[in-house]
Amino acid sequence: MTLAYRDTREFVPVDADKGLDRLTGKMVQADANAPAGYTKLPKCKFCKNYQEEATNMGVCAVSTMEPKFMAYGDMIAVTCEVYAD
Amino acid sequence: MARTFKQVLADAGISMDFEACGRAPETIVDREIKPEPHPRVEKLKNIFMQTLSTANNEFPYWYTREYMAHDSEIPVVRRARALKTAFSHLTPVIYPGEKLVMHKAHYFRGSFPMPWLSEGFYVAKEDELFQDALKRGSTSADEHSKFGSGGGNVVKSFNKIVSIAGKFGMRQEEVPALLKLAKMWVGKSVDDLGHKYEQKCPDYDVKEKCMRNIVCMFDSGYTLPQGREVINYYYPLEYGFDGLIKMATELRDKVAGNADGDGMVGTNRLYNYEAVILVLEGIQAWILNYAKEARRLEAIEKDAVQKKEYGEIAACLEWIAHNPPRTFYEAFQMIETIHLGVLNEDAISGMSPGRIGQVLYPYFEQDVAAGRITEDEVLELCELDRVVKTSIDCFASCGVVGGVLSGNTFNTLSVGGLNAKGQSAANRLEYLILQAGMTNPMPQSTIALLYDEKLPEDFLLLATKVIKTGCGYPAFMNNEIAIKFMCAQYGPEGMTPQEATAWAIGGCLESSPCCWLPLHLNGKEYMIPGGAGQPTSVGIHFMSLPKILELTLFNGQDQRTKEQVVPPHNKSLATYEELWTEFKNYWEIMCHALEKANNIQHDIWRKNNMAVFNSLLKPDCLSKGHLINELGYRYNATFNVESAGTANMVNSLAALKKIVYDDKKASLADIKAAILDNFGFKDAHEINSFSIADQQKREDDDRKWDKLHFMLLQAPKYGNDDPYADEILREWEEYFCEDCKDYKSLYGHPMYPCQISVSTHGAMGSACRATPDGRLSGTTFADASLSAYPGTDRNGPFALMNSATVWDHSHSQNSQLNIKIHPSAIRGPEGAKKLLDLSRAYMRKGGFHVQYNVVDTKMLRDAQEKPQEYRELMVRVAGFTQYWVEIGKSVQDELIARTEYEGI
Ligand code: SF4
Repeated sequence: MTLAYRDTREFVPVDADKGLDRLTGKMVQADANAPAGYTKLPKCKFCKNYQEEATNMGVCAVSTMEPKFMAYGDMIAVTCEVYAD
Repeated sequence: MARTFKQVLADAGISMDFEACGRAPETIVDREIKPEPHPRVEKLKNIFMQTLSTANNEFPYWYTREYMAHDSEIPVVRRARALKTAFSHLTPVIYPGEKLVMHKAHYFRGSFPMPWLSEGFYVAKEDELFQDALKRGSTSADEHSKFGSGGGNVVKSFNKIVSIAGKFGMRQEEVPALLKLAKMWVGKSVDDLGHKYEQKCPDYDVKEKCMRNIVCMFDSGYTLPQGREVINYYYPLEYGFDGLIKMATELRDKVAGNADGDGMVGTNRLYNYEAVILVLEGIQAWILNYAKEARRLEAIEKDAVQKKEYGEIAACLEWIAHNPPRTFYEAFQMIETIHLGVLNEDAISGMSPGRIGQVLYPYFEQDVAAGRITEDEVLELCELDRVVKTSIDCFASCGVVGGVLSGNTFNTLSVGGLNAKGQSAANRLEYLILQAGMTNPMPQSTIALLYDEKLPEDFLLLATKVIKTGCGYPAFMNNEIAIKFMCAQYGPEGMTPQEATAWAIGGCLESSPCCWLPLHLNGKEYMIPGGAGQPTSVGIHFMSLPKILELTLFNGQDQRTKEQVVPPHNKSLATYEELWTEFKNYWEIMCHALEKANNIQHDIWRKNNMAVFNSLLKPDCLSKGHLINELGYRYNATFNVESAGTANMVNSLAALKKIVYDDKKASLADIKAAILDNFGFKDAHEINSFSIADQQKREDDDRKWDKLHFMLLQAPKYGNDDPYADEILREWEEYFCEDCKDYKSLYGHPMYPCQISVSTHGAMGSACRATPDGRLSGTTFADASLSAYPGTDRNGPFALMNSATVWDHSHSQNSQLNIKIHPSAIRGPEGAKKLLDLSRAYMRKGGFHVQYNVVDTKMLRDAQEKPQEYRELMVRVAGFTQYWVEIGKSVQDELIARTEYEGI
């Protein structure tokens, strides 16, 4: 699966548009394709608990609230304790 | 092409010179000193220079998710739970080469919206209710606030980046989440609740009209509810976070269910301590997430040096998450963490680190003595600190961040002053801090030098050397004057003269109350200074004095919008005394309306959005068990009244007094007609230049106003040591300083004057018609409170200083004087000495603040034409330094127009 730089762990975000490739040290565009073999960054959109309802928007199935609290696919989830790949 | 203002005057034989005390060389002269930072710093700075301000939703997402799940919880605990969850979920990011780590959000210049404070902007955008929102006062300021077009500002959407408020970029994928989160706060945010209740005030209508017509600049009660204060790092440094949790737990258990004689809020202490514990746990989790990231990077890094550094970063964070720091490096990292933590807790501008050279000195002294660190390593850390502080962005609406702050966050650092024993507090670390300001010139931290006669001469000369780099800092602040102000304002709350010496600058130049506390390190005790007062960012902010004069002249009606802002006075203004009386009446009517509305806004803030982290850091919240909202701070009389456009108001009154009332050379009716016709000139907006010099005559102008205009321009002006104008300044200041005491904060304390313009002189000038001093419609006011209006100070800097000190500056929180000097005027060691003599002379006269822009005006003009070639050019705006390319055009134009001194 081809990943955008901004969806990889090797990408160090500088701003919304660009970041550093940690392996090469180069500044790269956030939306450019990352080289093959780069690691997937945990994000809600990759989580089994994420239920998308509209583009980039959904709910988090493990939310204890009723109705379930929103989630958005692009949120980074490295600190989410219940992220499920 | 139409004739410019300058040409019109030249034709009439009038010199409206923007150069004084000599002539500038023909070619652009650069600043004399150009030092380099350490290579590591240079690399990170290069990243910064390419970075766009970026906002995301991570913090607001987790905050809102937790907050909404606990709607029946006690407010302070509910907020603390939300803060803990948000901090615990911030994604860590560490850039290669960093030593001082942690960021506000997951970007180099990251920040995020806080819809619990105000969500209307986003909701209005989505629902196309923008037009409706325009009727709300605070959006009017947005229209008159434009960010600089370059640098890190995302002024327009591009690619998948959406521009928010003309400043921040947000990923397109995040925008739906922002809107959904914002909608959850409709009717619940401090803005919405405040708005609901402020309407109950009988004079609410006046308040809204003031905002809409930009007589007042912003709703201080919720837009930036904290800041312009000095943080306090003492408790975590002394006890560590584990120690503080232990302390709060023991105190909580002791006070649970016990009113201790305070039937109103005594029992609240239980919940307050509970909140403190929760927030501290959140901060610890945030630090440990960074430690984990550093360990991950250590494990995968191939470069041995970088790998070792990641290991050191991890070890440092793992230690300070729990314990008091042991070394200079650990202490520095801890104060950076605390600083960013407080800034993430609330929308804050001007959370100043204070006298960190004195706070960190114990660690510096012991590490250097033990050979654990070299001075060069310390210098590198001080340079890195400048990258950290300059990368801090504050997310607020365009009107506040652009119009008021020029994107600046005022993390001002103070050096010098006196120590707890009354001796010079300057230490070796402070020399290195000053040096770092020179070797790595970046806008933050702006440096304030607390000038005292006891400071060593070489320290002061080093400070002037730094000024000569053109970085716009350090500013000279008068220690003696500030101490007098502290004792008068905070004496009733128990401040002693000895405690007053701990003061520092919070924000750009707001004197803030601080205190001394005993730090223990390896058996040695050091008294260190730190903040002990509430924010000074709340009160009546900012009042446009020339606009109030316009209302006075036109019977309460704004001449731009034709709205009746205040009730008509129906006076003929037949005498100068009558004019002055009506001016004061209008001032008071509007200040009272704003006082009440802002008190209500901030009251909502304290009930639902109170500071927990910042509170626990400030004496005496931990020992009292009360946070900021229950007067837990040692000093609470910090709210103030802020003015803008002082020099234009004084010059206008002087012109009216001279031409209409004393010499009777023109009638008031003539002057009013000329004002409405803008003296035959186009409006500044038409030509998109806000400098007086560039204004153009209308093609159809028949020159009927020229004679009157010249007369008004040649009337006595402030800044020339001319008693005619200076007496008007004195009378205003004496009235202003006394009148402020009539306005009371929600904490029941009298307010006081705060005389800084920040960048409001641009936005407020933009909304003000021509003024009787000859200033033209839409042009920027004079900056600061005691800077002369461009081109009007013709008798040299000492005359300007004489004019500025006709009143007692210790009756005000501050005053502000900025002077532009051509680099060639202060060349070499002799030049530095002259600059010091000039500054010292002003301090000895009783001036509170002076600062210099050492720059060639021609360079500024060139930079306006070719911003891409001047990414690193820094200028002093009002009380702060900013990158030229990141400030709005109206303020740029005013900086170009300021009188340039070619010699001193
Ligand atoms: S919040 Fe956590 S559990 Fe919920 S969808 Fe996102 S990553 Fe998954």
